[in-house]
Formats: sequence, structure tokens, C-alpha cells
Amino acid sequence: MSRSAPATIALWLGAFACVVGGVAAGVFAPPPYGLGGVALVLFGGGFVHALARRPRGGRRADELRVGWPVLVLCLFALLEAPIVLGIVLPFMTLGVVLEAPHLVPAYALGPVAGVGLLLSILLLIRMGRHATGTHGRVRATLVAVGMLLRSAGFAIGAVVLSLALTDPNALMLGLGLEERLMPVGQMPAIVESFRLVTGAQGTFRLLQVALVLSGAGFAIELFGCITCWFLLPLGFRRAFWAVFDVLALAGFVVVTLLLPIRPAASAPNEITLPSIRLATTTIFLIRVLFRFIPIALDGIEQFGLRALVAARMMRAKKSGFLTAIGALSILAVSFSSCTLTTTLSVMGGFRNDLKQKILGNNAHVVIDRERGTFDGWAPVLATVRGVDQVVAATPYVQGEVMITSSTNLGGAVIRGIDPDTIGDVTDLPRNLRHGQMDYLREPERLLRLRPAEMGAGLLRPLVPADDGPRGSLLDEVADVLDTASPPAGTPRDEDSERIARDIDEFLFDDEEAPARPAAAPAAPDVLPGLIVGQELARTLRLHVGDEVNVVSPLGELGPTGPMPRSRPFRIAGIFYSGMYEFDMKMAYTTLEAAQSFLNVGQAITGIEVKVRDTDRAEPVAIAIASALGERSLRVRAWQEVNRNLFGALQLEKLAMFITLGIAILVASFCIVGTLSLMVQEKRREVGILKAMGTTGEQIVSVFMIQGLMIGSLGAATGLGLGYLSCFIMEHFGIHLNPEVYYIDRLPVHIDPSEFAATGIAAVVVCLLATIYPAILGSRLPPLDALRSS
Amino acid sequence: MTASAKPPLVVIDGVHKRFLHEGRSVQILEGIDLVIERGEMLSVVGPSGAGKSTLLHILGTLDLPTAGRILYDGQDVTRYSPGRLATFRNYSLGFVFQAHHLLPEFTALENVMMPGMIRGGARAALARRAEALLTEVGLGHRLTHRPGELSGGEQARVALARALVLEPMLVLADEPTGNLDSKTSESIHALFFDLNRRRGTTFLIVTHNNELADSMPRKVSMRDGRIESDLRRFSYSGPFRDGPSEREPTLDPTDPPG
Ligand SMILES: Nc1ncnc2c1ncn2[C@@H]1O[C@H](COP(=O)(O)OP(=O)(O)OP(=O)(O)O)[C@@H](O)[C@H]1O
Ligand SMILES: [Mg+2]
Repeated sequence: MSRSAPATIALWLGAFACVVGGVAAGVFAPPPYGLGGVALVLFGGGFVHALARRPRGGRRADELRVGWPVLVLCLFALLEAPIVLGIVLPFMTLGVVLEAPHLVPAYALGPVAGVGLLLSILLLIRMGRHATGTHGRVRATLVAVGMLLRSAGFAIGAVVLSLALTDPNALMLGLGLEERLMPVGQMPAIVESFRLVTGAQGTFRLLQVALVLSGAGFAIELFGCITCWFLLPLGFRRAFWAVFDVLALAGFVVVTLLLPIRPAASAPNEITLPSIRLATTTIFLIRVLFRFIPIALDGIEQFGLRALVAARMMRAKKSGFLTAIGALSILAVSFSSCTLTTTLSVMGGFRNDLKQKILGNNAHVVIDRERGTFDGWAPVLATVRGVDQVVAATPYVQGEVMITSSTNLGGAVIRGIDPDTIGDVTDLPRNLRHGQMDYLREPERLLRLRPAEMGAGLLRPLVPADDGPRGSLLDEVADVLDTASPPAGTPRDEDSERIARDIDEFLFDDEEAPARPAAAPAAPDVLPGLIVGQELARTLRLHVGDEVNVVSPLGELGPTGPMPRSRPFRIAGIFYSGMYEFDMKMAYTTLEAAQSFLNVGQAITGIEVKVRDTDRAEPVAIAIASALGERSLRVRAWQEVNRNLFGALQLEKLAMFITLGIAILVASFCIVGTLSLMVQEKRREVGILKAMGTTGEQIVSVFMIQGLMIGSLGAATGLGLGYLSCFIMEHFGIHLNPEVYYIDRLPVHIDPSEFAATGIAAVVVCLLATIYPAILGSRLPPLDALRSS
Repeated sequence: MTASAKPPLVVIDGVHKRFLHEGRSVQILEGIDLVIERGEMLSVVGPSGAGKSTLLHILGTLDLPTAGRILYDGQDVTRYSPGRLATFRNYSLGFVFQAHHLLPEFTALENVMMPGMIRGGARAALARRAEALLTEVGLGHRLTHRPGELSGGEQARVALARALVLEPMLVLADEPTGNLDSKTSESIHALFFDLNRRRGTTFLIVTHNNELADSMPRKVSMRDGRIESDLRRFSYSGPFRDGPSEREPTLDPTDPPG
């Protein structure tokens, strides 16, 4: 019996997706292994579908009873229970159980999993009582294969993970117990730890194999279960959903009334309750959405013949296979648009973070010369301040120098600023971790410092300290940034700073103490103040009040050419801007001190300007340029100054959009398959409609509307889930390794226009995917279509 | 007068139909010539497998003849584009399939409304007309039933109502009363005659029911893909609203073409 074109296409598509997904799973193991699973499912499904269409042994399909496949299934389910309950969970919990037996009840998850398994076994046994025909056999076998693969994956994974967990080096890299129980925020660290340990043990490949196996098995099982579900009697299914929905509604009401939506400020790591609330709400909303679908279809039916026929076809009882791949294509669209929006939001978060830091540390508009300095800047400054939209302006002079401390030296850019007006233009005063801006103006105060004010640039804990995650320096800094208040001087801060300083001195100062000018018994001189970044302070081991030497390579002309010129400064403050470049390179002093040190007389390098609306800095720059009317002066907005940086970010974002857009494209393969089969199953209807005078264009629309419905439903749920995951990341906070990212938690920026773009892109791709099957449907000759029944 | 100036409603001109069956060509229709005038009622009879349904499908533009022409109002519909054909079918033809072919996802009422919806009519008006027609064929109490919930005879009547609802100029019916009891059949036949009289609708009805075939003014017998006989009953005065006398029967039993 020859197969029809759509079935062949579905087969080939499935095979193609299988190869692509398999290769992808092999190359980048962890994330796309689910994709590989989906692809395998497609392939298997297409294959099974093709097989199921062949009448075997001349017997009518529905005479066969389900028999042995269900037995096999039950056997696997029974085997799986001990694997999950007996091997995986105990090994996973081993470390914790030994250390803290009182935490064992937290693993009530185990019994929950057991109850779930019991339920699935009951379901299977119930299915066994129904004559499910060839289709039932095929689907049950599919579930069995999926279970087998998953069990194998679980077993391998359990062995590998337990080996890794019992490795003395492993134990989750020094995480606290709470974090081991609910490792949401530390997931990357844990994954990284397992990767390292399994790598060292030589089982990393095996772990990947296990992941791929269980992922593929799970996908197959899910697919099989969805199709099997539709073999159950309608009454049973209705009753199940009725009970489920009542429970979901009750759960929703209860969690909305009782549980908080975000973690309490005092315990930001206590995310269990908010998680339960979010999960319950999500399940409830998804069920509401599904309950809403029939009503929506009723509404759609009012929009003319095409919509009416499309909606009825969507509602019609379809073969289990078609239903399953229909559901799968909705899931695929949903999943890919969810990842796309989430990724874009995170990238937007990074971009925003960067922008905020750039805007905090730089002026919005900079006026300078292409090279060199300029004199007579007072009238220029006055003109600039008079320009509309300009909030503040401050002059600066800058030059490249070396800074040497008693222990080390580093290159820096020294910038002379006006301490009175700099705060109006940049965030420097608010970024000070130690010291004060006033010390620039009155350097003599630096000689009478309290020890607590000196601060330590050296210590920075890698992981949150014992007093909770807010104990790290970075979090304090984040607090400072958030509230824009001066560094907190609470007793605890003073304590920790004093301890830090003690440790610092103990570690480094003993043998070098004589070399330290600050520690010299001789009366110290009053020196001009210098504010340096935290990273520079760390490398040079500087504290507020320490003396440093600043060396300018371009000094006076000596007998052998330019002589380096050197002058001592005293550290007046240490700032943390959040940008590594700034924290490593910038050193601030007063305008006068810098002018005399750089030997430029009264000249300045440029003027920094703050404008009212940062996004409209460019027009303001143009306005300033025309107000100045001087060609030798360059007026640049921050966008122009940082053009390369933002260009690269933009490009990266585009690349991400395209890469993940391909995921939507793969999802659209599912839609092509679904609609091809739909065309196949609805041949007779198409023939009848054509005999009554339906045009080809109308038939095309009917199928395209169905694709549109699948796509919109997928996109709607996907955007909802994407928003949800962004919400979770934003409010629960995903911790990052600050050593790598120079930022302590994952930044998230939810941009409605990106969500809209993703939604539109998903729907458009789905619509495009429908074109071919729809045209296929419209080309059916009416009589052939009628005969096919 | 105007009617006689027009070309006949349908001219079937040397229609042949061959099917390819397992590589061999099977001749089903071997040169059919037939002229159907406006407002005529003719029955097509013949043994099973004579090619009646095949001829009907070709007449209904659902299939193309291997050779020959089908002229409606002098226009060769075998050369129409698919789009034009669809419009033609919707506006001019009503088709009753031997196997009924109702849309399973739609209720009886919606099935009857479907041709009108394809044309783009207002649903409320269509629903009223469809309901009236279904009541007329005795299904007023089955409006919201789906085809799966209807008996075979009820399905046949829904299919019939669907073919009649837009009052097409030609109704092609393939054993429309094949599985109905005699009483219901008779009322359906009365409906045909009534429509023919009131609206001048042309009917071509394939039937195995000799009573019906004999009650029709014209009876075409087919055998082995040819027309065996084409008989007109002269006693029949005709339903023509505008002057039945002008419509002289021209032919005695037509010679089957050789
Ligand atoms: N697609 C086809 N391929 C091959 N042969 C066909 C095809 N369609 C019809 N036939 C053959 O054409 C012949 C005529 O079929 P048709 O359906 O026209 O008969 P009929 O006169 O309507 O018979 P009945 O009274 O039983 O409905 C049959 O012998 C049938 O086998
Ligand atoms: Mg027939």
C-alpha cells in the first residue's frame, strides 16, 4: 500500500529532525538533549504512523486487544519505582542525610514521586481493560520504550552522580545546607561542580550519555502518554479534568490568600513558599487557558466560513497520533518562544546594567579636543550650562600615569575634577566605598583618620559569607548603588572592616612595614588626595590614607630628553563603579592638583555634561555644538563614545535572536507535520467542500487558520511562561560568580516590545509553515478526496 | 421566446471516460451524447456498474472526461479554471452523492447552510431557509444532530436539502431515495416535482426505483457506458412556467451513438 505524500513528508521531516537533533545532542550535550528527544519522537512517531497504516495479517485493527504491551509497561513502571526511589534519591541525599538527619523530611519528594508512579501504574492497568487496537499496542510500546530509555538513563546517572557525590572534593563546593536543599540560585555552580568532578573521575561522557538517554526517554514517554491518554474513555477523562480543575482552583485560592509572592526581604533565600505559589498559579492559569479554548473557538467560528471550518476541524475527533503531534507542536512553539524571550530579557538586563554603569561613571556628553587641552574654558562652561536640557557640566583634565605603592605598581588614568560639581554629572561621590570627597578638598584631614575609615581593598569573599548572601561586599555595594546613600557606617561594617584591615596588615605589612610611608613615625606631609578604584586598590594594596607615588611619563625636559615626573599623593577614597575597566584604571584628584602635576597651566582636557534625558543625549550634543560654534571642540554624546561596545551588544543580541529563532523554525516543522496529517485526515471533508463550490483559496485559508491557531496558542503560552521565568529570575535572583561577570546576580530587563516581536515572529513563522500543507490540501482533486473515505 | 433562443442547458458531446486500473486502461463511458433542456426532469437508470455515477460526476464537474465536451449554456466547462469551476458549482449545481457525504463536524442544519456560507451569505437568513427546508423533508426535529447521530435515510434527506437549498438551476442526484421507505420517498419525489414546477429547476436523478423513473417525463437508460435508450413521455404536459407549448419534444428515442 503506497503512502500518501503528506505521510511521506512527515516521515522525511521526522528523519531529518532526528539527524539534526541527534547531532546537536552529541555536540552540545546538556541543553539541546531535549531537542534530540523531540526529534527522535518525531521520527519514531512518523515511523509508527506509517507502520500503523499498514493492515497487518489481514485482521481488523480494532479486534486486537492490548495485551502484552500493557503488561510490559507495568513491568517497567514497577522496575522504575525502585530505581527512582531506591537508587537515585538515596544517593542524591546521602551527603545531607549523613550530616543533618533532621532534614530528611524535606525529602518528602520521594514519596510524592512514588505516589505519581503508583498512579501511572493504575492508569496503565485501567487502559489494559480496554480494547485499544493496533494503535493502543503501538502507543503502549512507545511508552514502554521511553520508560526503558529513561530508566537506563536514570540508572547510569544515579551511579555517576553518586560516585561524584562521594568524591571528597565534590560536596557542592562549600554550599550551605539550605542551598543544597533548594539549589535554585546556585544551580550553575552545582552544575559546574559536577562537571569538574565527573571530568576528573572520567565519567563526564557517561553523564552526558545518561542525560541524553533519560531526556530522549522522557520525551518519548511523554509523547506516548499523551497519545495513550486519548485511548481512555471520554467520561473518565472528563471526570479527571473536572476533579483536577476543582483542585487547581482551590489550590490557587489557597496560595493566593496564604503565601507570599516574593521572598521576604529578611530572608531572600527562602523561596520555597513563593515558588509553590508561582507553580500553583501557573498550573491554574494554564488550565484556565485550556478551559477558555472552546469558548475562544466558539468566538472564532463567527468570523466567516474559513474560520468556522478551521475551528471545527481543530475540534474534530482526530487520530491519537495527530492529537499528540498537534499538542507537541504547540509545546514546541511555546517552549522556543519562552526561551527566546527569557534569553532576550537576560541579555537586555546585561545591556541595561552596562548602560547604567556607563551612564553612572561617564558624562552623557563630553566636550573635548581631538588632541591636547584647551585654555579659556570658563566662558565655554558657562555657554554649555546655558544650553537647554543640560543639567550640569564640570571640567576635567586627564593624563596617563603610573601609580606606585610600596608593594606594587599599575598604570592608570589620572583625572583632575572639580569635587564640587562632579557629583552633579557622574556617580563618583555615590560610588565611594571608603573615604570621602571632602578629603580631596581638605587633604589635611587625611592625617587624622579613624581606623575604620581606612577600609580594605583586599578581601572579597567568593561565596556569600556566613551571615547570609547580603554579607558580601558586592551586595553591600549593590545596596549602596540602589539606595544611593553614602556607605553605611553601621557597627558591623566597622567591625568587619577592622578585621579585614587587621588580616591585611598581618598578611602583608609585617616585613614591608618600614617601606610604608604611612606607617613611618615621621610626621606625614599634607599631600593632595587621590581617589582610586577598588580593583586598583586591590592590586596596589591601598587603604585610605596611604601614600602613593604618581609618575607621569611626560615630565620636564631634562638633559637626556623628557624626564619622568613624580609626585606623592595620599589615597582619599576608594570607589566601586561596577565596571572593571573603571575600577582598575581611574584615579581622581582635584583639578588644580592634576593641572599642576600634568603641567598644563590653566588648561583642561574637556567638559563633562549631564543632560536631562539620557536617551536624547545626541540632540543635546548637537545643540551644544551649535551653541559653542567652535569647530576645534568635539562634542560627543555617550552613545557615540561607546559606539563599539553597544554595537557589539546589539550584534550579539541579533545573533541570539536568530539562533533561538531557529528553534522556532524547528518547532514549525512540527506544525508542517501536524497540518500535513490534518490534510491527510480531512481529505473527505475537503472533497465535500470543493464539490459544494469551495475555492482552493478558501481551503488554503482553512488550513492556514488552523496553523495560526496552533501558533498563537503556542506563542501565547510561551510568552506567558517566558514572562514567568523572567519574573522568577528577577525576584528570586539567580546568583552569578562575580569573579567572572563582575555582577553578582543575573540582571533581567523585561522589554514588552521584545515580547511582542517574539510573539509576532513565532506566529509569522507558524503561518509560513502552514503554507505548504495548506496548498497541498487545496490541490486535492475533489473526487479523489471523496473516494479516499 | 427568450428560452427557445438560448442554447440548451446542458449539452454532453461525445464524452468518453477511461480509468487506469493497475496499469490497464478501463473504458467506463464510451461516447455519451445527451442534450438536457431547461426545466427538464430526467431519470437515469441502468444496471449497477453501467457508469451512471461516473457520468454524474463528470456532469457535476467533479471529474474530467477523457474525451468530449460538457457545455452549460454553450460554455465548455471542461476548460474552466479551478476557481471558476468552484464558483460555477456553487451557483449553478446541486449535487446529491450516492454516499451522502455530509460534513461530520457540522450539525444537520449547518450542513444544509454550508453551500450558502461558501457563497458568503448571512448566517441568520441561511439558517431560516435551511430550517424550513429540513422541516419540509421531515427533519425539523433533527436540526442539531451531527451526521454520525443520524440514520442513513435521514442523512440522505440532509444531503438532499443541502443540494436544494440554494435553488440551483440543475440538481444532480445519485440515488437520493435509495434507502428510504416508500412513503418518505414519495414525499421527496413530490418535492422534486414541486420545485420543478415552482422554480423551473432541472433535475437529473439516477435511480433504481422503477416507479420514480417511470413517473419522470424523460428516462435515459444506460448500459456498459453507453446510452441504451432515451425516452420522453409525450403525455407529460411539462412544468414550464413560461409556455410549455413552445418546448416541443424534438427527438424520439435517441439512437445510442456508435
Ligand atoms: N476510479 C476508478 N478506477 C477504476 N474503475 C472505476 C473507477 N471509478 C469507477 N470505476 C468503475 O466504473 C464502473 C462504473 O462505475 P459507476 O460508479 O459509474 O457505476 P454505477 O452505474 O453508478 O453503479 P451503481 O448503480 O452500482 O452505483 C464500475 O465498474 C467501477 O468499477
Ligand atoms: Mg452509482
